[in-house]
Amino acid sequence: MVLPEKARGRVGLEREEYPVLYLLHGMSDNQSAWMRRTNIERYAMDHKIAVVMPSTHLGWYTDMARGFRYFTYIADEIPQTVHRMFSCLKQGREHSFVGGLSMGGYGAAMLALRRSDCFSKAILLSGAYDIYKRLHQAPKQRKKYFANIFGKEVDASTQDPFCLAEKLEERLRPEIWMYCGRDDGLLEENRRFYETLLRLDYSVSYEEDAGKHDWDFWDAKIKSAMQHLGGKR
Amino acid sequence: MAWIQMTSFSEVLGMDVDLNVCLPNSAFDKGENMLLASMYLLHGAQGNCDDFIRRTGIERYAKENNIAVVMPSGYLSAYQDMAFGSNVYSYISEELIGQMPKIFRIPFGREQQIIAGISMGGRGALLIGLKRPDLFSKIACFSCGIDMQTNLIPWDLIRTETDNADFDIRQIARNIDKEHLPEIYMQIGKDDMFLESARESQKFLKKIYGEKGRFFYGESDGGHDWDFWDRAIRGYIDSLQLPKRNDLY
Repeated sequence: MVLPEKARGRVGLEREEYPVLYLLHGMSDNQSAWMRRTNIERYAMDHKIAVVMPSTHLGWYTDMARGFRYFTYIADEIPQTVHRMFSCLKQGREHSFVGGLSMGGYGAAMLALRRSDCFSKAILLSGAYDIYKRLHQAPKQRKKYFANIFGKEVDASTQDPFCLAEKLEERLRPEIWMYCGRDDGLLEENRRFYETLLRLDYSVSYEEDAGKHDWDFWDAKIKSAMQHLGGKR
Repeated sequence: MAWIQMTSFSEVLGMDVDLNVCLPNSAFDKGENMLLASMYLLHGAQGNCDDFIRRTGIERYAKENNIAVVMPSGYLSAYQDMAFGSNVYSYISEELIGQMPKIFRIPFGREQQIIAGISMGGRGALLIGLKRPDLFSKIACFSCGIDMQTNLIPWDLIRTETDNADFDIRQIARNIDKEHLPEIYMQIGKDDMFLESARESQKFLKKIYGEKGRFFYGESDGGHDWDFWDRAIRGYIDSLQLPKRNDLY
């Protein structure tokens, strides 16, 4: 977790409170990835946003078919825990955001769509949105891994962001900013998810430019994306 | 129970400092904050903010008694503003104490703030607690004395022959407002190398506190080591018998 620090803060000055961005890592990473590979702390400081970086290992931010209940942990327990312990965080939907890359882009989309009463904005970087592809077209050695996460068949109402986006009532829709590099293997499903959101009339923007599925791209994009989160410079 | 390892910039010290916080988050289970006190716990010479986490069961004792424990790093300062070095006294008393409740939902204000420590940190707790009785209602110091003759503490960097008045514990104690004496709990092992120093301090403080003041002194089995401090800290926290929440508010 990173908290913005007051540059010239001394005792007696009034309390500062910050909105919260829950920022999710990708496959093979853990909670340390964003800290190690980007300048997230500086961006948090620039925009006065607290950033909470949890880990759900390789669990795709789901309540796994066989495994841990990661979705419940991230969606319900983590926000409750941080608000219990920290007095410097703003509460409420308009001050709660999600973001993530790759697997974490999927996770952030699920949080924004399934808990849209809790989160108002989502930053989705190079997300992996097509769960059917993961489950049914995975290489042989990966089949069991994805079945452990999603079960035998996709449960569209809890696992498929395309389906969830269709169903979500208009007044609860989050604002979404999507990014994907043109040399990213996930480009096609990013375009498809964006077109779906656009067709459904979501407040969504999509930026596609030269870039790959790598940290150069994510560092640059998280930097510009955080300008949209309502903090002030 | 949460153990928070934190790095935060200190304006006073002009650098990033490490600290640990033990925060029993089960205290929030009923939808309101049931924490009863915040203890600022100071490490000894040679140590840093990790000492109590590594060498005692502080997290359990904090949870059992519903208190938050903040463990800062005081380096080799004796918790003074050093003659040649960092202003650690000012950092703890002016910056840290104000900063913690702004970040964490922990109790604050004199009646709910305790300062405690071992060895150099015990002396530091005595110093800070007596110098700022407006911040702390209780001082707990273990295995220390006002005069600690040891080369483990670099006194030559901390104070000069001529300029020590601001941090002279005896002077501070003599001038303290007798109406607002913080309660002092002092304990030391019978085999501790600072036993004589502790006894002298007891005599001196007893005089200041008189019959009315709440000053407690105890000697028990043990040396200048973590066996003793683990037991002593636990015993002290248990003995606080913090009031039920209803009595507090």
